[in-house]
Amino acid sequence: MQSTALLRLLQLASPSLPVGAYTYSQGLEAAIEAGMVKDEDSARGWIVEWLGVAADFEAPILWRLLKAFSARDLEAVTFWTERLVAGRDTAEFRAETLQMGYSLGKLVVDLKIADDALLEILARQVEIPLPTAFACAAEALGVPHENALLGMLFSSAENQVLACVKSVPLGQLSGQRVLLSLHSTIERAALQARSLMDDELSNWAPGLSLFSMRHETQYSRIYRS
Amino acid sequence: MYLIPRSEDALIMRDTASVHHLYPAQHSSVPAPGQPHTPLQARLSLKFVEDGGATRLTERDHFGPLIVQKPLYPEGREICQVVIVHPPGGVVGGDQMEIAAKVGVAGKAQLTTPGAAKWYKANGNISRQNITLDVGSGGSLEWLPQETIFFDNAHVELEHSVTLGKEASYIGCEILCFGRTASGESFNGGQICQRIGIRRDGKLIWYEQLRLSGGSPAMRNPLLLAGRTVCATLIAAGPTVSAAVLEAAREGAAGIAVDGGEARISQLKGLVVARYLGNSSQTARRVMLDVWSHLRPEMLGRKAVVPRIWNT
Repeated sequence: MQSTALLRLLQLASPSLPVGAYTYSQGLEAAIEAGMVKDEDSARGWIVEWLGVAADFEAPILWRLLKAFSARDLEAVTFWTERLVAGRDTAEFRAETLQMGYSLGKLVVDLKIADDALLEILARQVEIPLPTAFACAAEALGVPHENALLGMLFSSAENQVLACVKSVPLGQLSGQRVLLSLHSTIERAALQARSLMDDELSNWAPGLSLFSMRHETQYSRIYRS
Repeated sequence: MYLIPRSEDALIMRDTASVHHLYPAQHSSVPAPGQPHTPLQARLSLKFVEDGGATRLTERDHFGPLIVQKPLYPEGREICQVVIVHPPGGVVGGDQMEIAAKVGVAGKAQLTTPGAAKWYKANGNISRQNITLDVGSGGSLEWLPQETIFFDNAHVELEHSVTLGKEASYIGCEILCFGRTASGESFNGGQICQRIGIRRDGKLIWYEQLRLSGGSPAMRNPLLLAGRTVCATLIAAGPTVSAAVLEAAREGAAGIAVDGGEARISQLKGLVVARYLGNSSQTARRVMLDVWSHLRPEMLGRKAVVPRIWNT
């Protein structure tokens, strides 16, 4: 990976990217409230399982979106974008990906990093979930697909570690230890995302759906998902 | 009272008789190991048409062991209820079933089944079911089958696609049971694949793809099946449901799922989703019926009259 591409990926995957990622816990806050995530071990356990769910659906779809943007294939981008949004099965999970996707999509336009063909494909989407905006940005910045996929999975995992540090709570050292230990899981998730065939995808995660639904009516919460 | 022409009655009687003759309880119980099985193909195609305020079943083509009984009108002539019967009682590896139902503009139909759908242990072949539902503008369709039981080592592919026109409503419910837990069996092998897609005006509004291998870590994963054996889902597509009704439905579901299970509800744009995860198909039935009872008046503008076949 060239240093220019590496620097661009670091910026794209940074928690300081202004898309509001820090306001979403991706179901984790409900698991903390339920007492399921309560220390370093259970935090790591949750994020490992969460990455497994991502590796079955969102990550392989991001992989397909990266290929589709690269080929400037409007039809393929539209197909996977629609499937990704419709596959988000709770109100908060749908809002989370659409709000972040909207912000990142707007950033791509305002930063003037994308060519006309990419902008046109993005503009033609009825709704922009985060992976679609991320794939468009990665393609615009010339980040290799394999690295973009790792970057997206890493920033999701990092976001959850931050939520654990804040809400479990975990110490800073403990959080960094968890994140470091997740690297091999992230690599495995990326490999799986690249190898799954279309009919091997699965977004069926009723346990996670129930945590998200529980969060909608949770009395005390600081995150939006 | 809506009357069915006598000739149609005769037709159904003959169909039923011929089906029983062709498939004499071939696998009304679990087939014996090693017993040869000729895969069954079954197709059913239904068409409902609104006619002067009544909904009539105007077409029912079937091939093989999938039949419908006489259409019923327990709520009057506006809504036509049809019970779909699969005489063999269970699906063996290699069997293929196709059900297509089309509800015309402003038609109202309710489809249900008389008993659990059983998917037997695979014999090296995949069993398939393909359901295609199409609801025209202003129409409604309720898909309320009894529970689905996946026997240990079943290998099944299910496809369920729904197409909705403008202001059409749809309520679909499924109760998936993994393994015959009543007989102490768990789902240790085999594979279940299911795809559910709902489109409104051409736009995909719901998509679920399930791929679960028997005995895999996913069955214990707290984010997936969480060590439970029954997962039920109700999806209602139609008008937005008021906060008060949603709250009542949430309380009702939570009040029923108290035996170690959990039931919750979320409202998305144009869609309400209810899920139950637990170990009891009976509790799942009660949760699904209760949620349905709350949502039906909002979605269909009709009070909830529980299909008689669900009361058994």
